Amino acid sequence: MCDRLERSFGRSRFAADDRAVSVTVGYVLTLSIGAVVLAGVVVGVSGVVDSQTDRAVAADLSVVGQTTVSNLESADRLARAAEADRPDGAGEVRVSVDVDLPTRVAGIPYRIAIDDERVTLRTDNPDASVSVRHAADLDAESTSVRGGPLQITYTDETGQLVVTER
Amino acid sequence: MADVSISPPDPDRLRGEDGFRDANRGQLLLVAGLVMAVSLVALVVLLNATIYSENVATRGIEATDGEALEVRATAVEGTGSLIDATNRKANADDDDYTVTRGAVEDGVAELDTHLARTYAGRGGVTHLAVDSLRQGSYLTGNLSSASVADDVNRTRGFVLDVDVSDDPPVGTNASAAPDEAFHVVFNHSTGDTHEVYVYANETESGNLTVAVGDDGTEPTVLCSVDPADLEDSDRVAVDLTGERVGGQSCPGIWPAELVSQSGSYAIDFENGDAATGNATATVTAPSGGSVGSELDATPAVYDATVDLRYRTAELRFETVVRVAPGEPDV
Repeated sequence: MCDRLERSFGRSRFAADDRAVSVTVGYVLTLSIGAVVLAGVVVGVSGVVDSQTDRAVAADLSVVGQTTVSNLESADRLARAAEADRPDGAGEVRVSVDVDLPTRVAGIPYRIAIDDERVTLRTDNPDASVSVRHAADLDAESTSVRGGPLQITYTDETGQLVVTER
Repeated sequence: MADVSISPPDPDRLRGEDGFRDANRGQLLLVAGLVMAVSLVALVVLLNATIYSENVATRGIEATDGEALEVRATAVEGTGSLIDATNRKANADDDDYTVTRGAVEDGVAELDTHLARTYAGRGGVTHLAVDSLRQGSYLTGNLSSASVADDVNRTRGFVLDVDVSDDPPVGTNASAAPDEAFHVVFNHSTGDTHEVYVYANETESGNLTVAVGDDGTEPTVLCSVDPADLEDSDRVAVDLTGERVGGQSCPGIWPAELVSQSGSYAIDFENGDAATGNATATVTAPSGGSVGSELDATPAVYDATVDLRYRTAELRFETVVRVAPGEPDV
C-alpha cells in the first residue's frame, strides 16, 4: 500500500503538503482548552480554600472560646474559695490565672469580648463570630482584648473578674 | 555502521523564527501552577491549624484551680486538726493559754514547711502563717444538770457522747420530754430559749431520739437512731453543731437563731440524770476571754485566721482564711 501511495504522491510532495495541518489553530485550541481547564481548577481550589478557611476559623474560635471560658470559671471558683471563710476586711485576696491562647486562628488575628454572661470571639476577615456562655458566679468586667496570652485576675478591691492582655 | 549520534537541536526551531517571541505561551501554565501551589500550601496550613485545634479540643482543659483548692483544703483541715488536738492536750495537761497558743503557732509553722515541701515537687510555692488566734474555752464533762457555759456567742464541736448500753437514756415520748428527758437549753440574750432533747423513744423500741423545741413547748422529733445499726452500739454521738446523730445527718438540731451570732447565749444541761455520757464543746465569749462553766474548762484556741498563698507558673492564689472546725454553717 505504501508503495502505492509513494507512487501516487511521491515522497517530496507528501513532506511539503500542509493541508489540514494548521499550527495556529492547534495552538489556539490547546491554549483555550488549557485556559478553561486551569481557570476552572483555580476557581474551584480558591473556593475550597475559602470554605476551609471559614471552617477552620470557626472551629478554632470555638476551641479557644471553650478554653477561655474554662479558665474564667476556674478563676471564678478560686476567687469564691478565696472569699469563703474570710473575716470581714481581713487581709487581701488576690487570684490570677494566666491563660496561653494562640495569637491567631488559622493565621488570622482575632478579638475576645467578655461580659457577665458570655465570651465572644470574632475575626474580621473572614467575618466569623463564636459565642460561648460561661457559668461564673462572680461578675466579669465587660472588656474586649486581642486574642493571645491573657490574665484573669480577681482582687477583693475590684470584686469582679478582670481579663487583661498579658 | 549505523549513525546513532544526536544532532544538536535547531535553535530556530526552539525559539521560532522571531527568537523568544513565542516563549510567553508558557506563562499561562506558570501562573496557573503558581496559583495551584499557593492554594495547596494554604490548604496544608489550614489542615495543620485544624488538626492542632482538634487536638487541643480533644485533649481536655486542665483544671488550673484544682491544686490551689487542694492546698487550701489541706491547710484548713490541717490547721483545724492541729487546733483541736492542741486544745485536747491542753485540757489533759491543764496548760494555760500562752502554752496552747504557742503550740498552735509552732504547729502551723511546721505545717507550712510540710506543705512547701510537698508542693515544691509539683512546681508550686506555698506559704501558710498564723494571722491571728482567738481565745476560747474547751469544755468537757459528764452529762449532768449543770451550767455548760455562761455567756457565749460562738460554739463549735459541741458533741454529746450518749451511753445507750449500760445506762441508756430514759424512755419517754415527745410530749413528756420537757419534764422527763435530758435536754440542752440555749438561753438567748433576747429571752428566747431553744431546747434539744435526747431520749429513748418508748414507742420505737428504745431508739435514741433527738427532738428540738422552743421556749419549753412540746418538741418536734428530728431524728431517731437504732443503736444496733451503728458500728459502736454502746455509745451514740449527738453532734449538735455538726447536726449529726450516730454519724447520720440530722439537719435542724442547732437552733438557727444562734447561727447568726448576734447577741450571746447561755448553755445549760437539764434533767441530767435522764442520760449518761460525756460532752465536749469549744466556745468563746463575746469578749474573747475565758467562759464560766461548771464543766471542766480550760483556755483554748477557738479559731485561727491564717494567711495562705500558693503560686505556680500560671496561677496566683492569696487569701486569708478563718479556721474553726465544727462550727455550724452560716
